[in-house]
Amino acid sequence: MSNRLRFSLQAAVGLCQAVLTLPAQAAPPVEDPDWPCQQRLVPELSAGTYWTGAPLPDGTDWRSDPRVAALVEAVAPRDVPPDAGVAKITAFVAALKPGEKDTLLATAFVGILDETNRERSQIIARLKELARRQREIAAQAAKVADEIDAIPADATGEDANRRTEAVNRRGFVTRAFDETRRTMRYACEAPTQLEARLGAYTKALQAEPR
Amino acid sequence: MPFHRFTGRAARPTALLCFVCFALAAPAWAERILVSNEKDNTIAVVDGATLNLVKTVPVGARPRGIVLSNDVKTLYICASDADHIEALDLGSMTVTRTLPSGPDPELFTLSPDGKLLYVANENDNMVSVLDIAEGRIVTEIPVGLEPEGMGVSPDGKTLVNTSESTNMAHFIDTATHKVIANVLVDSRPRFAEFTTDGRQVWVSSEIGGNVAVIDAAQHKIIKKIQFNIPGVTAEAIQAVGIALSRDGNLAFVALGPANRVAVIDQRSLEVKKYLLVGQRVWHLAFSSDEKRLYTTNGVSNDISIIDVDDLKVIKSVPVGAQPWGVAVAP
Repeated sequence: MSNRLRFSLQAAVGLCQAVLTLPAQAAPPVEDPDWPCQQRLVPELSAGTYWTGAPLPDGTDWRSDPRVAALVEAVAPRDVPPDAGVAKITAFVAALKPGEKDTLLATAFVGILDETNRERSQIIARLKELARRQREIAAQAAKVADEIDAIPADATGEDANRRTEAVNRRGFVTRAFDETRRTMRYACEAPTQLEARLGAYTKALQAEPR
Repeated sequence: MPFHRFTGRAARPTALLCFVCFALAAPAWAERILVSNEKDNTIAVVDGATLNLVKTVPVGARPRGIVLSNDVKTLYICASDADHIEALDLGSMTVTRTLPSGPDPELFTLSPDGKLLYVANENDNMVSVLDIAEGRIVTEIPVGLEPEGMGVSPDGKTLVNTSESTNMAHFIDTATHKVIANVLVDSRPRFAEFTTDGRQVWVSSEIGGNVAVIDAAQHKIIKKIQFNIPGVTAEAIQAVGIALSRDGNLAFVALGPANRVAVIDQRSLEVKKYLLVGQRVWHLAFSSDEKRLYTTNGVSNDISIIDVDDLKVIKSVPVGAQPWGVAVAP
């Protein structure tokens, strides 16, 4: 439930060092190591977690019905606010004839679910990329920390210059780490926002017209 | 319980008459459902009679675990990002006290005598024992990484804490504050709850997606209850909150992004049914008569209300952003 990121710089550095010392036959992790958000990754949203209406069409292309295709195109893009999408769905539901309702509602749900999953998997891929970048930054932080540790604080001459340069570099690396962490904090909410919108859309599809 | 106090004081005829009038006029569900909204930093109050949101009270940053005092006058709140515990006076509906905890308190449990709070601090691998009257931490118990779930036995003698990263249920003697046994459970254990008779502890595992039923005396797993929902992927089945009925008949388990609550027979340990609730169902609480069950749904931002006799969801009520914990004040 948390949006707390599972990374801190210290923990990430520790993780990098630990990974480097792991034996080759170490057991595979139970979690996706590239998934940076607190909430366990659910790679794909399934119909069964949302839909309680008429049986879903099996193998039917939702694009084959122009009304359904137009609705999905209107409500599924990521930038459509939930309220605006729900209003469009409500109008769609109200215009359906009783005989076609069950089929078209189920088809529309399949279309919206497909498109939501497509957008959501793009976001997940970007989040994983961000996590990989964050791990690289953590590895750089570990390296620079080792460099600094290797030079005595009271060093003089060339050593002192090298130490100053390394300390400055650590500042840059730390700032990059913090910036990526801030980005992740917001980015981790994006899949959830799509899930919440899908929930609202499903409710609207299954609501009785007023 | 307020009604018990009313009956105790209704000696004079006028008082008795008033009580009868009040009892007749009183709704069947004269209780308040209190919900912590993790993202809004509020406690939402839902009227048990009308099932309407009646009040939203601002509290400390990122409220998660909540628990009622035994006299039902105070709600204790884990303000996780504020790194402390707050006491919300349920009369004035204001935060009247701030109590210490370790960093990032997430969940806690009250000792049966109501004097101590056992607090799981996610960020320092400690369980803090907080004396409420004195307002200070009397001791800290080292446990596994990222402590989270907290359950106390009905006799108050045993505390069970689960650690999220170590995948263990730690059994702690509350007299010595020592860990007396560790039981390995599946990945990311979230919640621990003793049965009313104290013989079992149920521990949910979020990533494992199951519930380990542990013999509390032997410290051995009796059964791992698995969940299998047609049309729902295994990754979406994440076991979190647990509610065990006092009569020993039913158990309910919140299954996170599966948007389902599993209904389990407490005796046979078999799953009877799955109920579709709001999105990312997290924690659960019974009404005081256990006729209803309330669920917090962190993505759909509402609570679902389940009729326990009919095993049906009867309503959902929007409460605020990311509802997390729930408690019921009679």
